[in-house]
Amino acid sequence: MEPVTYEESSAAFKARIDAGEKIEAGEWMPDEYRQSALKFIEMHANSEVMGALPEGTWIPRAPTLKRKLSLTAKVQDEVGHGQILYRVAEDLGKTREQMFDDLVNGRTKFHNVFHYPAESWGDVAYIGWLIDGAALVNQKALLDASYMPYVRAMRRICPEESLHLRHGEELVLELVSGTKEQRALFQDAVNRWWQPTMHFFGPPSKKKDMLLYWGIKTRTNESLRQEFFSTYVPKLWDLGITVPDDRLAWNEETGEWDWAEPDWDEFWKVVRGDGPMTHIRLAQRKTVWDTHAWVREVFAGMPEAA
Amino acid sequence: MPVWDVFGKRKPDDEFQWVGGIKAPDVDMALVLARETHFRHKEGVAYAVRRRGDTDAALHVGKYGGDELGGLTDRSYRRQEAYAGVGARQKRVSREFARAGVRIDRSRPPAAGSPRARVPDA
Amino acid sequence: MPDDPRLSLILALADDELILGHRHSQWTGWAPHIEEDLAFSSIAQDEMAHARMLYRVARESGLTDRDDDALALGRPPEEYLNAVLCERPNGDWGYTVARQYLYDTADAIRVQVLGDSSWRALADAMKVIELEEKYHRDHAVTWFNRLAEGPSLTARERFAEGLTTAIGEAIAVFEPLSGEEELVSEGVLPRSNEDMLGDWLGELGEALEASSLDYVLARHGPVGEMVPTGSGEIPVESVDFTVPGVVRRDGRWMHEGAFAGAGGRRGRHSEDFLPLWEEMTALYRAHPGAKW
Repeated sequence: MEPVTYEESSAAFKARIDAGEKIEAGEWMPDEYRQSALKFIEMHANSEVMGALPEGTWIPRAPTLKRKLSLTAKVQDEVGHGQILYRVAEDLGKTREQMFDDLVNGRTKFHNVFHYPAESWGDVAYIGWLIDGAALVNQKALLDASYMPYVRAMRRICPEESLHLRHGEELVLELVSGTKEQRALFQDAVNRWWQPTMHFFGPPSKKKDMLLYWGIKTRTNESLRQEFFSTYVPKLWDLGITVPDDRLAWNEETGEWDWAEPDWDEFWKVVRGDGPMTHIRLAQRKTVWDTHAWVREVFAGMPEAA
Repeated sequence: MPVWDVFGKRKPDDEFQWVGGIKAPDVDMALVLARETHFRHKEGVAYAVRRRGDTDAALHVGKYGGDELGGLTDRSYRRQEAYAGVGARQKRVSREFARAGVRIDRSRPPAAGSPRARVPDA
Repeated sequence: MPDDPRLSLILALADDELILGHRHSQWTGWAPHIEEDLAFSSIAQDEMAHARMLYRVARESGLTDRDDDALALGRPPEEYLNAVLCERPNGDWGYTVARQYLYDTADAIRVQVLGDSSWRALADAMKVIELEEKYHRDHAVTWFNRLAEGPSLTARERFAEGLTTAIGEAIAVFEPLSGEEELVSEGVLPRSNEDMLGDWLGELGEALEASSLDYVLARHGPVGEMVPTGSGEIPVESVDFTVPGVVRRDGRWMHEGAFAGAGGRRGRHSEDFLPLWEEMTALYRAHPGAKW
C-alpha cells in the first residue's frame, strides 16, 4: 500500500535503510534525515579544510625537498577531500559559500584534533600516521553508509587516505630509527596528541544516535576506538614508543582493550570552539575570506538579465 | 556560481565517465581547475567538463592528456607506488627493536596488529 | 659568485623555481576558491620539482658536489641567486596571480630558449619543464582574462595593483647573469637576457593593451577628485610614478636603462629573503646528516 501520511513515508524510508538500500541525492527523504546528513557531512568537510592548517604550517619548514613536495601534496589532498565533501553537502541544500561563511564565523563545527597546534616535525609524523589512521578507521566504516553520494565520496577518499597513512608511517619510521633528538620529537608528539586522539572517536555513543538510526554512520564510537587500538597500539609498542595511558592493555577475558577515560570536559570545551588554536585559525580564515570577497564576486558573474 | 560535471577516461579507448563536480565561473576556468581537482594522481588519460544541467550539450574536452595529467616530472609521492616498501620496513625495524630490547611488552591481542578486537555492535 | 658561469645560470633558474614554489605552496589550504587551492598547489609542486631536477643536473654535470637538499636548504643566504620577485610574501590573491602571470610568461620565454642550449643536460631538462610550464601559462592567462574582463571592477583593480607592485621586480627576472657573455658565446644561453626581456615586454605590452591595463607600465596614480557639478573633475597634484626602465617606442613596450628590483642574480636580496631563508632551512640545518 502506498504511504499516505508523512509518518508513513518516513517509516517506509526507514525500512528501506534497514534493508540496506541506498539513498540518492534527488530522492524524497524525511527532513530529519536531510538535516542529519547535511550537518554530519558539512562537519566532515569543515574538518578536512581545517585539517589542512596544522600540517600546512610545516610545508615551509619541511626538512628535505622530497618531504616538502610530499607534505604539500598530502595537505592538497585534504583540501581536495573538503572539495568533494562540500559538493556532496551542497546537493543536500546549502551552498558552499554559506557553509564557509558559517565555518569562519564559528557557527559550525570541525573535529577536535584540528584545534591543536602542530609544534614540531614529530607532530607532522604523528598526524600523518595516527590522526590519518584514526580518520581512516572512521571513514572505512562510512563506506557502508546509507547516503549514496557520501559513499561515492568515501570510495574516492579512502584510497588517498591509505596513501597518506603510508606516508605518515614512513615519516615515523625515519624518526624512531634516527637520532636521539628525532626519536624524542616523535615520543613527545605521542604524549601530547594521545588524549586528543582518544577524544577524536567521541564519547561512548548514545542509546539513540540519530546518525546510527538513519544509517548515516554505521558503527559506534566505541567499536571504532577499539579497532584503532588493535591496529596501532601494538605497532607503537613494537617501535618502543610509550602511550600515555597506564591502563592501556588488551584484556583477554573481555576480549577488549582496557583504557583510561580521558578528560571529557576538555573534549567538550574544544569542540564547542575553545581549543588552543580555534580562535587564531578561524580569525585567519575569516580574514582571508573577508578580504577576498572580490574573488567570489568575479566568480559569481553578473546576475542574468531578467 | 555554476557547477560543472567532470568526466574522465582511464584508458584512451574508454568512454568518458562521470567522476565528480566542481564550481567555476566559466568553461575555461573549469578546464584549468578540473585537471588538478580530479586527475593529479594520474586518474585518467583524458578529461572533460560540462555545465551541470546541460545534458544535451557536448562535452568540453581538456587539451591535456596522457602523461601530462598527473605530472611529467617525478610525482610518485602522490601515489602508492612511492610507499611500496613501508610495510616491510616497519616489520624489519620492529624485529631489530625487539632484538635490541626496545620493544614494549604489554598485553596485546593474539595476532599483533590484526584488527581482532571484539566489535560490540557488529 | 660561482666560478663557472654555468653554475650561476642553473642556480638562477633552480632558485627561482624553489623560492617561488615555496611561496606558492603557502597558499595550500588558504586559497580563496577551493578548486583553485588544488590547482595552485600543483603549480607550487611543479616549481619545486623543477628546482630539484635542476639541482641534480648541476651535480651530475660536475658543477657541485652538493646534493639537491644541500643545494636547496644548505646554502648561506647570499648564495641564493633567485630573482627578488620570487621571494616577496604572497600578499593578497591579486598580487599572487599578477606575480604568477608575470613570472610564468617570462619563464616560458627562457625555458624555450634554453631548450636549444648547447649544454645538453640542461636542454633536456628544459624540454620536460616546458611541457609542465604550459599549464602554468594557461592558468595565468585564464585568471588574467577573468580578472581583467570583469564583471567585477574591484577584481580588476586588485589585479592591476598586483601588476603594478610586481612589474619592476618581474623585469629583473632578466637581470644579466655573472659571466653571461661567455654563456651566450658558447651557446649555453642561446640568447641574452636583454634580448629575451625585449620579447617578453613586447608580448606583455600587447596583452595589457588588449585589456586596457597597459597603464600599469606607464603610470600609476589616482584620477582627479570628482565633483558633482558640470565642471566634472578638479585636477589634483599628481603622484604618478613610472616603471623604471620601461618605455613605449615605435608602438612597442621595451626595456631601456637600469634594472630596478635587481640584485638577485648576484645574491643580493630584499628584506623579505632572510626570514624566508630562516624558516625554510632551519630544520635541515639543525640536524646535520639526519635522515627524514
